[in-house]
Amino acid sequence: MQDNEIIELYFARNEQAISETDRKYGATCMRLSMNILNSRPDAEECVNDTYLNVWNSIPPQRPSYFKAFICRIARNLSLKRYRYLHSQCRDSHLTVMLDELDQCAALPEGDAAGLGEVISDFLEEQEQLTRLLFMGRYFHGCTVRDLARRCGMTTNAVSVRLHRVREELRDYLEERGYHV
Amino acid sequence: MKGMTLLASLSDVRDSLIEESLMMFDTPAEELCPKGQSAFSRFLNSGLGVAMICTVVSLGVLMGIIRAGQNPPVGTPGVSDGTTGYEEESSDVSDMPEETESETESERKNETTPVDPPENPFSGVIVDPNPTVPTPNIPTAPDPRPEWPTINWDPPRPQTPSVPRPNVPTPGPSPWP
Repeated sequence: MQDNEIIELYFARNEQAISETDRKYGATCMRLSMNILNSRPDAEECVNDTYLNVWNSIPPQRPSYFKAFICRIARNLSLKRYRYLHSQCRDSHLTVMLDELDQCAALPEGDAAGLGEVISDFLEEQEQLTRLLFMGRYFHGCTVRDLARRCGMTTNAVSVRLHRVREELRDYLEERGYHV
Repeated sequence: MKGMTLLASLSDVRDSLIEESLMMFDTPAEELCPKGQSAFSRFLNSGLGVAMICTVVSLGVLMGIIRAGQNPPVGTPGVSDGTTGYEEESSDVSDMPEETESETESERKNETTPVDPPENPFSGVIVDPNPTVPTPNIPTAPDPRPEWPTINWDPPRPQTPSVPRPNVPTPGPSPWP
């Protein structure tokens, strides 16, 4: 079923919309949530919460990119869940990712106004493979080994590319005033 | 938690970027990142590699031509390589000292049996160590330059008009004794 047809089901308040969404994008949401939470029960709970949020959002929203819309909701809920579960201690999987991004930007807590647009502008200046690796690592939460396997590269090559793009992002953000 | 702030802000990136990133999970690795050429093959296919290969080949051919010109093949007329294997008697006897008949006969008597020289593969071929190249008779073309006029440095003297000699009367007898 096409995305626009699924959206019409949401607008018609037809519960078949949720089953169609699960059939088409359930695996993607589960993979994304697992990469962040590293726990299947927590990931399943986040995916269910995602469907509820989509049902409550459509209408009035009519997203142009339905797949991206669902992934964004799933990711936010997973991060929220992660912060709730690991407020005292950090999971080793996400710790590495957070440490990498700590080197990337000197941002005070909560100062993220307009940061999404700035990062979007930065990523659109990069080549496609770099964008895929950056989004795959820090949006979808994939490991370096998983990225190397999916892109047909060595882990060292992926690590080097990610390091370079983090350095460039740091300079990019500093030029635009994102520093302490 | 600066990293968490940045991590969370990635949810606000443009939809097109998220859509593109999801392609990674649906596209085979060969299409995402095709195998590149090795550094050596990239060098060979580059302009610099082609230029270097052409230069090396050209230098090799040039060296071969130069060496072939310095060492011509054996047997070329007019060229002596010093290894004919047969020392022929010089036909030029101008430097040879004059021998008396007695000395010649005594030498002949005391001579040992002449040793047959080794077979000369070029027997019958007289190699002139000092070949003279006949000058070809090339007809000379007439000199197209015009002949300079001869200058007579003795200009003709102007003829002085003849002055009639005055009629001088002849003196008579001397009146004086």
